[in-house]
Amino acid sequence: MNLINLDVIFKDKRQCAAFLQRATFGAQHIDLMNFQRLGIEAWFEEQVNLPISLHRESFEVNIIAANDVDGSTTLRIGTWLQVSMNAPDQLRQRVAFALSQIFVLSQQSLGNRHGQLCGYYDLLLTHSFGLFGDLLKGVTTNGMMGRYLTLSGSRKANPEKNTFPDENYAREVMQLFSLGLWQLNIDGSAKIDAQGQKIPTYTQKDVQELARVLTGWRTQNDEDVMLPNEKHHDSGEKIVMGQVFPANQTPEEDLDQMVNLLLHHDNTAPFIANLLIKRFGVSNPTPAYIERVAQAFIDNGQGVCGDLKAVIFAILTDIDAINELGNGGNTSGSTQAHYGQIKEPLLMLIQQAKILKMKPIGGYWHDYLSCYNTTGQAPLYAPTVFNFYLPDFSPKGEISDKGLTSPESNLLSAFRMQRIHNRLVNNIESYRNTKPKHFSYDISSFTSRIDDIPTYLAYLDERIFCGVMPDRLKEQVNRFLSGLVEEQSQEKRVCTSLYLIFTSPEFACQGAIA
Amino acid sequence: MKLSRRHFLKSSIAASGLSLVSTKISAFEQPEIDDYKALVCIFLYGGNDAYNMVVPTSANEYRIYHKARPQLALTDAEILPLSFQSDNGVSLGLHHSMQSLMPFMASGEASVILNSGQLLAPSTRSSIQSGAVQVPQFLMSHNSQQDMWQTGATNIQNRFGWAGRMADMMGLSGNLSPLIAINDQTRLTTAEFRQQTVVSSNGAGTYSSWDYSARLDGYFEHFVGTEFENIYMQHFADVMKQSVNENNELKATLDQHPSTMVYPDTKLGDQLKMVSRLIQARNGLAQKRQIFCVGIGGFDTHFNQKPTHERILSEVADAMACFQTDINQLGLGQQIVSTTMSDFGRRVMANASGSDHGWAGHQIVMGGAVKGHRAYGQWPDLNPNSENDYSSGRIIPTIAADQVHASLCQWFGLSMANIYELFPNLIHFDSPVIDFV
Repeated sequence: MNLINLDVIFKDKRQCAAFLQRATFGAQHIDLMNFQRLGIEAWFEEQVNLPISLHRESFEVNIIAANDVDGSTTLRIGTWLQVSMNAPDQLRQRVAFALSQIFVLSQQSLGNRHGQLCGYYDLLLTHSFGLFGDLLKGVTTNGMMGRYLTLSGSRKANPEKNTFPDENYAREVMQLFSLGLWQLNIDGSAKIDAQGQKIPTYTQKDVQELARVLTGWRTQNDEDVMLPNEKHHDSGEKIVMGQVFPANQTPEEDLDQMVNLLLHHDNTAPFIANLLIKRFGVSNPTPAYIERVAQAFIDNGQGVCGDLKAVIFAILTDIDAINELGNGGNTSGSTQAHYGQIKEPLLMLIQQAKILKMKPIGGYWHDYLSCYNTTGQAPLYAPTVFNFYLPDFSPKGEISDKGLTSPESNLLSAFRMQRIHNRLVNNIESYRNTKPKHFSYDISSFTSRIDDIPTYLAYLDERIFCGVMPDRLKEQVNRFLSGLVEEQSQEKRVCTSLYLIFTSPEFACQGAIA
Repeated sequence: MKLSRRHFLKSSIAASGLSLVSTKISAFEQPEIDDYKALVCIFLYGGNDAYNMVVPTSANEYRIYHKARPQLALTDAEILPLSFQSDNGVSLGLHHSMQSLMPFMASGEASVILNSGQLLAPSTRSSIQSGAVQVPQFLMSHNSQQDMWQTGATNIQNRFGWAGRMADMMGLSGNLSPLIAINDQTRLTTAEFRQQTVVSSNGAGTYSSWDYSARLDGYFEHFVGTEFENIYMQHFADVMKQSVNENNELKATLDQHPSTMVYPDTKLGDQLKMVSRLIQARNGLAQKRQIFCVGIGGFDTHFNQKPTHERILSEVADAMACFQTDINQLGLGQQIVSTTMSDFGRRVMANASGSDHGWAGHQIVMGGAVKGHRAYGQWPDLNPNSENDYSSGRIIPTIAADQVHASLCQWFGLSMANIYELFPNLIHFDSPVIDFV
């Protein structure tokens, strides 16, 4: 329980700006005003209750506009940009993006099934504030997931052909979608046995048994969902992690029992809590933060387990998030210096695009940010089921020396840093673009203010940082603008000042706002 | 884009983490290095179905193999016979899609290591069942087993890869770190005291708009003379600095070494082409030793295995063959060894149209220093419940991956004392190394 008065906390503009950074794909001044007017509780309720902005519908519209019958990767990713940037249900969009990095499937192995991929994303959107059990069931029986982790067509053992059930999904649903490898305490720390060793959550035998539980599902023609077939289902008794699945259950009954088993397992609440917190601006939560979110997972206050609405609310309004405290690491305790994270590189780009209000030229949305080529990230496009980075990745240097993590750093190799830089520059200069298939933004609201430096700086502060622009950056931009002796066009001055901001570590990171 | 000296003085390469510790981080003596060698690790991500990459051709073993996986087994026509046998006298063949490796198998520049995998000690079905030996952690889990191949069977909790730790022990240096991963960081090339260099298979790019000094200066100001209280901002600033330096160094060097060979237009072809360029750039980079890690995915063939496996095995074989031809032409054939590794082998018994995660697998090793004209290791008994069968066709390794790594380390010049430090469980085996190189 938060022993804090949220209404009082969110009187503070800084808090509101920081909150919106974490909860949306980028906030503008008008979003801040709206948030302050409503207050946290009403804003949250509004976000939860807004109609769901589904991606498949928008994708179909873009296909027609682009006159591209089958759709293509650029249209699917373009649709994602369009909806993620513009949809009113920002929080839901952000939650679905987080879920897409836990319940991973990828076009990289599924190929050009763009409509169905959008359908999978819509499944995540639909369950974003629903029950974890329903989400897990939906993911398990989804046709794209069935293809991706090859559950579709998995049959009971056939002694004649010497074939066995497919163990792929059975393993990953435990390792990645619910339990993790090691038994956890509720605060996310590993349980330790009498010999001081960590304890595995399940055995290979459990994987084999769960694979039997999950036999008999197969995609049909439309591939959106899998349907059960009793004939291929192993109807014998199975035992998974000590729990008996009685003989003669139907595929659906076995599935429901699996969902319940995983939902209520001790690991699931802290495991999912930790993964989700890391997608909302905090790379190193304290054990207490994880525990509070895990408690919300276990019981939403009304005795319901796995209520994602309660979990997301707990994550976004936790006392550590408000006080901007991160895990102390080796030094124990907590500290503001460790609060925050390096943003997902794709978030850097989409936030910039949203701030500048970049739009494609021509009647449809396409992947104008070259998301994957630039950042190594694109929606439903991870290299493997292990996502774009592992949650415990720790880059060399102070972060690993202190026993902390920064998953997103895994993407920041020298060549990607250079590509991200060039993309940020390209975007800033895109105001000049006119060609179809390019993109552009309206620079006039910047140029009209630039001759008055204090007014312009105040504008940048509101437009880009919701009024909490770091002093160092303000000073750097001010120095650049004040120091110009040569005559330069308004556009050039605007672009360079935007360059200084968008390439800065402050923009690339979420941190405590000093 | 030429950066001014001023910027680099300001950014101080020495402070960027690029400066390589020249002192050796090693408890044991290491001889000075006066020659050049490189090690190329080709990781087959997803778990290669090794039992269809190298197949038995002796009548009895082929019959057992075919019986174990009637749906997946290669037919006679799909097997390229090798001229050598396993240590226990079983004749062998390669998957027909790997034709391009055959000349190197024939010339003795390539060989196969049979039935290798993660082991803590020599193991059989009965010694495992009786509890006399422990099995490694998280067998059959992709990322855990990938990590184990890259860190060592007992080192999975260690943040550093065995090649990275070797570089630390040997004090390897260069203008850029000689631990080089193509396209993405790897655990293998992660060291405690030196960075790894991550190179795109497309090479280095140019930072746009730096012809305008206000931008160049502004960018550098983000990390020169600026300190952040926030640990992430500070790290990001450090990465900015390091990336500028690394990119600049690479660009200058690679521009002098365009590829001189036409490689297959595949992901692995592109990566090995870049490896070859970096090898040619070794003097400019001041690297006497280089360790490369490249990779190719798609081996997790649970479903519809046959066509997929055929396609990716040929990609592997064609790229490796081209690479060997290339370095032979450069006169470096004797100084470079390439090896494949994979998460695990797949189960001998099949699924409906694919195969599941297994344990032991086979490796292909290549290079002039490889002692070819023979295979290394025993062909396992693929019969259900044999002493080689862990459970339903997951085969127990008969060569430890750590023994293979140790052999490569020894060839590379690491002292035996340091090798035992890297792989402490080697003391449980008859020999710490396999004599293939």
